[in-house]
Amino acid sequence: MARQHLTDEDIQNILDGNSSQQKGDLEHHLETCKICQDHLRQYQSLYVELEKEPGFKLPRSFAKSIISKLTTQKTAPLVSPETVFVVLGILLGLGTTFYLVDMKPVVEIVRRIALPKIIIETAVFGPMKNLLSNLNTNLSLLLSAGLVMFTVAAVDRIILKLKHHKISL
Amino acid sequence: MKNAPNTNDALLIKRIRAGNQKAFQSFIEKYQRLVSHIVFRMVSNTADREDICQDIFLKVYQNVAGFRFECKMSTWIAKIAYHACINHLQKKKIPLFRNGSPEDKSFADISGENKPPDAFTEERDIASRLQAEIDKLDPPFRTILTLYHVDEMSYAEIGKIMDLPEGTVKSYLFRARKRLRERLISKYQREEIWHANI
Repeated sequence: MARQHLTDEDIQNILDGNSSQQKGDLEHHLETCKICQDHLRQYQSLYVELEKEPGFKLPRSFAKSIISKLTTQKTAPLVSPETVFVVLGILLGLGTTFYLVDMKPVVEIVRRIALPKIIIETAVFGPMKNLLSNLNTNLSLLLSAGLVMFTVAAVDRIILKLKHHKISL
Repeated sequence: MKNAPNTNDALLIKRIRAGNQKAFQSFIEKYQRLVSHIVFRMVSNTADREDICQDIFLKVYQNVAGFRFECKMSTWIAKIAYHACINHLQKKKIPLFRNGSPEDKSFADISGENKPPDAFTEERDIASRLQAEIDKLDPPFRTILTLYHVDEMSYAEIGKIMDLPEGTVKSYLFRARKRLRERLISKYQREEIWHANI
């Protein structure tokens, strides 16, 4: 009895070189069946085309561009010189302002808003007030120092964020 | 079980781990073809492809210290590349399978409007016709075809790369090729196409 025509799977298995128990049968049928020979030829053509290189090629300088990217990441200073100058400028500006401007009205306003009498006299701030008065500390000096530290911390945070963004790119 | 490491690869990795950038450059040159094949098949947007390839090699560099030769170097890199492409598609909200799953309906004909711009080539010969048909398949099918036929990887290697059982890889490959043949036959003059290469 003549064998049925080869299925797509049979033909693909033959072309892929996958072993099959019926291999002999299949090959014998192929020798005599024109339909299956056509079928096989079509798949052979398809395989030839599939083995061709797809159409996307990276530029010749691709490897070098990655190496230079790695080098940039490695050698980039934590803080660029420009950033250092900006930070120094801000600090200098703030310092000069505090030195030249009479801060007493500002301090008075801050004291009224932020440190009302009721709060100062509570158990939490009471000891602080005593400590400050005992030390005879100039409040405006403390506020100035706090402001400078806050500015430095804020700028530092911005720089770190920028640095992190660069690396994650 | 660990694979016996390829001597060249083992040497390259050793030099890369020691911080030798020339070695990493040679490494990139050796594997960029494989990575570009995967990215090409997974990502249709031509503008994104080179950036993704760069990200893949940077990721390889960051993780090379942890490579233990438990598989071939090519399989490890291809896996990183494949998953980087999947992440990219997820970020862009592009589904891996157009119909949500890799069932037969994902082979359904789609109109040319979804074709990437570079697929609108003049379909003069079987090569460009076939490429246009491959572009219509879902990205995992396209990738399997290329890994098998161009990069000559086994079902097992492709399975490792794509986190699929060997049987599934084989089945996807068979279905993709069957579909390609059917599409080419139904769409174009039989004689014109099939005798072009004989």
